[in-house]
Amino acid sequence: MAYVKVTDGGVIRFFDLNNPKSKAVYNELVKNNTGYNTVVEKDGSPKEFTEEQVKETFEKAIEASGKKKKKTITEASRAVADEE
Amino acid sequence: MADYTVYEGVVAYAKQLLIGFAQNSKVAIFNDPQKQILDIKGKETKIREIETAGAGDYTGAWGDGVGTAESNYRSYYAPYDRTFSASVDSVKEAQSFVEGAKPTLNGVMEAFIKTKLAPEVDTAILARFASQVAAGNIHVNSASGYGITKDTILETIANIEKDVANAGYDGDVATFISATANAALEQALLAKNILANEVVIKRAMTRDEIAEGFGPLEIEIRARKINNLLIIPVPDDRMVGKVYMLNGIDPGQQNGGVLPAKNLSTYFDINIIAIPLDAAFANIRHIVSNLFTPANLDAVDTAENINLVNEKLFGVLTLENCGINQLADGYKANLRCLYGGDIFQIYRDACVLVKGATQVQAVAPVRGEFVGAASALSGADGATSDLKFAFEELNCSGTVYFTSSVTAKATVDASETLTVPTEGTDMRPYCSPTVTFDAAGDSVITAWADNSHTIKLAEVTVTSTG
Repeated sequence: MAYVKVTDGGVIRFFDLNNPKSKAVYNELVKNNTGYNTVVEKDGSPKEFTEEQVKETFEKAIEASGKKKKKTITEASRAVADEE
Repeated sequence: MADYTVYEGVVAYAKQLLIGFAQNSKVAIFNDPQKQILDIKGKETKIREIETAGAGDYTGAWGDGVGTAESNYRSYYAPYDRTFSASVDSVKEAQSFVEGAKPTLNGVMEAFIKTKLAPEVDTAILARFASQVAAGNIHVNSASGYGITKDTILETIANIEKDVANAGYDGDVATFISATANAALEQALLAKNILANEVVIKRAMTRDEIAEGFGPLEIEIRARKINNLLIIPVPDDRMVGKVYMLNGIDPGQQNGGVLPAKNLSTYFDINIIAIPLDAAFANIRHIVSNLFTPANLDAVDTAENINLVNEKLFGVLTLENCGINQLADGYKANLRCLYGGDIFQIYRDACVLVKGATQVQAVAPVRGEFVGAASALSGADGATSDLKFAFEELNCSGTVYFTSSVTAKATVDASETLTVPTEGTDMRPYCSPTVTFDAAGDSVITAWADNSHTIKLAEVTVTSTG
């Protein structure tokens, strides 16, 4: 899976270039160029992310928003310790 | 059952879509269809943007040495093109007509707009606006004069007015304020017995009447006004500086919608963002397509009449391909929303942003504990003793860092590498920092997950007997 990250300063989007539907949206976004920037490597080629990296990014965002997933016993014991 | 045609139902849905969005989206105040040229057959919108230089000296010939101004209708393609499909079976929809209630499909689309789409549009466009405010007009809420507590917020409001005025703008300013900051503002106003007047701004969403029997549609936007600032409270979760937009297609993004990017070190809360009404545009267009109704209803000149309706809607709402549902089992519609917005270049220094500080995201703390004999916790001057620190996560490696709160009483090894046990009852990775006792007294030994000592794992008090 090859995801690219596109930002416009405030809004961040990930597109799977191996998925034709997702790639079509990405191509149109870049073509119309309304201030969107693809995150690139030093050589200018689009930086690619794996599916796991993208999922982990969203999971961290959910956790940071306070909307956490179901905890393991160990995580729950840490949470209790935090509240104490 | 009432004898509704496809055409009549479509127009009813159209009105609800326009009303629902304007009522629930805060940034819709910038969506003035009369100021945009929308092509109902395409995605391109023409936005008039004016650029101007300053005046120059008159040298006797027009066009020579004089500053220039340009008014361009630039092409704008809304960057966010989002979709939603709704369906309701015909029995449920018929029942709503029988009961004289709002059509169910109408209710489904309204609920989507109110709970999903309008919040998404606000979140994305406000994040976009926040990135376009001139750097000199961005203030962290800890800065003097830009606080958001009940004791400081009135000063902030006054400073925002001043900043906008100094940029040369004296018209009305849409001032989006987070619910939290607004609560502080309400308290401050009440404490000083200040009344802020409510004003009504009207937007004509249709050109004359939509269709025979359906009058012109005008939306009223209400805001509380303090001098020239239109105070518009916005839920906190729409006032975010960085947001992920989920595409609903790829794994992990199937839920669609938006997600505040609070995991990023560059993330910030938007507390207040003030944008003059002339300074920005929001381009929000709905396309409702494949609106199918059950075959037991009549369709009367649907295509021709709907084209007329579309022409009167400025292109803000476009209805396409409406007709009879050949399956005859339900109402279905695809709702598509193209939206975006920008602050015009010449007005970016007339906008003001008050934001929260960017945050340093600590790794979620993983705990551990000091274990072992009590004798390790005390000793005479010059004696050494090994503490045992056990890390809670199994089968992991790494370095643990240690500090002593009072090095005059006791010192400790700066770091130790974890050892993973291969047998025994306690399989937690552990390390054994050495404590050296000194002058009499207590000291707290702390274990840290990082060398900069920001992620605390555990602590224990050791006592030097001197």
